[in-house]
Amino acid sequence: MVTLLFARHQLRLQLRSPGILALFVVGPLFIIFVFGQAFTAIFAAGNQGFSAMQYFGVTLLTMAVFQGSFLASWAVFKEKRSNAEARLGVAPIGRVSATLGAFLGSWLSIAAIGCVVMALGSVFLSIDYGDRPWLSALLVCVEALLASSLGVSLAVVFGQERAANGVLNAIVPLLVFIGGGYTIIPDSGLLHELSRFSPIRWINLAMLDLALPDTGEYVAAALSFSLAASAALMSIACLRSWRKR
Amino acid sequence: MIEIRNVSKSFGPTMAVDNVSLTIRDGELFGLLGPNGAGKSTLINMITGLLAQDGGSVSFMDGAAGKAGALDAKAVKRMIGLVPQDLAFYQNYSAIENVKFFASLYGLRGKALTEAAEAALAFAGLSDAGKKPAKAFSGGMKRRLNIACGIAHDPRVVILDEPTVGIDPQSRNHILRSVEELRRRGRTIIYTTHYMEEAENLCTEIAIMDKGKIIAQGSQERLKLLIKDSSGVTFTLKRPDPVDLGAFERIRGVTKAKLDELRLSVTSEVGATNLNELTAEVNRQGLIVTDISTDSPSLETVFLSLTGRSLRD
Repeated sequence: MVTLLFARHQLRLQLRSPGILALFVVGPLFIIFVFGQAFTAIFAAGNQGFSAMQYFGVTLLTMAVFQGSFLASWAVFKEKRSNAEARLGVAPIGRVSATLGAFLGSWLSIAAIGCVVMALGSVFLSIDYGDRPWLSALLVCVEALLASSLGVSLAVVFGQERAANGVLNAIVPLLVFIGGGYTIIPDSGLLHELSRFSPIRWINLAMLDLALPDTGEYVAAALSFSLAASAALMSIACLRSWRKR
Repeated sequence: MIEIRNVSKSFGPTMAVDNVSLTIRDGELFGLLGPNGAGKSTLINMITGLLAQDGGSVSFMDGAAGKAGALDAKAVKRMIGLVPQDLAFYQNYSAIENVKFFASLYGLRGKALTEAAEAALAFAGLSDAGKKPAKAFSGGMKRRLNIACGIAHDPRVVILDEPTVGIDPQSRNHILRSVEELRRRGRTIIYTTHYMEEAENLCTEIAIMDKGKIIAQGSQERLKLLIKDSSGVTFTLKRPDPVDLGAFERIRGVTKAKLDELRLSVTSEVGATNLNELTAEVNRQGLIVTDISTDSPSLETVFLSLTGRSLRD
């Protein structure tokens, strides 16, 4: 019950910040458009089999969803910023429930943002998410789960907003980069090897595969990788919250 | 009843709270005074369970009939209402959303939650501003909302940490009346403040903290006696008549009598209770008196006397 209370609280607070929500929706669409236009000629010359708009329509969508981890971190630190932490500490509620509530609320908002970006990209930028867009939406929702658990766990473990955001600022672009967010990953070499460790890489592969040949080859791997990582991160967050109580 | 026994807390080499023992009885309005850095907030945090003490114990005893012994942590949390020194609510929420959210943490739902939130806002004088966003409130309204958020679940123990800092006299007056009302309703209140006149007007029992220790505790009268080594009565005379000062000095307990133009000052030992004899002597000498005043130390005098007048960092 407390978990749901905090999830609703988190969603409501985010809805009261329309500027941030707009940034999370409009920003990725704008970047997809810019990258799609800027790299059209290079992609055409490289004979990739898909357009720059199509590629970045997927990879920058997953980047935007992964950046939702900042929203999740914010969900934990907002209590500190509004000085409500003492009130929550005095109340007869469990810290783990509050942490799970922040996670759940963030997940719902990040997933919703991802799905809206996907829908708008499809309509306005003609990005193809395949014949089974619900499967792409499922991948977005599972990636949102990963982003939310990453943001919440770092916030709980570090306890300091600057430290947690500093780590996020390092991790998110790195995983997006080695996951092929900004450039096509070559079939061999260091970047190819490194990309195996990025959950973003698996989600990108799965979504690109759904959009083009639609074999669904990477979907299971992407879902498993993301769900396992998310479960591990939330276990750490819950354990840490439980110890702090 | 709250029993604090030999509680200590240190942060590195700094002893924030040093072997403090206090008893706060049910229904008491307990004032906790002290200069900045005295350890008040650390002690409050240990009472509320926000901070674990290094040593000693804090127990909440159930005063209800037929029950005895210390309450468990969850029961204690249910009975505490905290009004922190900093404004602790969400600026993007309306007043009623804030109060409802914090009250819902105590299990209130549905109609009971709405009624409790509305009652708390009415108590804080914010009924008409319930739907306004908190960020649009004035400083005084925010302070009152801070209180409403802390009492909506009807706690038996209310802890107010400097609730009147930096607000207009109207809001301050409202808050002070609200605190008195809480006491009339039988709530136990722990009140920390820097404003001595607030403590003087409100508190039934006072503890003065300094450098992590309780340096004085008791009723106001008892505290005032701590620094009082004499009591004085001043008679303001209508005319500069001759006065037999020796006759006054022969009265039981009188240590000194002096005349300064129209002001006749008589100093006595503490507890001499010789006012009747003094007025009788005034009448015997045919002195016409226009005013009588007794000097009694204020709580501020006591505070400064016990904690010193030098500036604190």
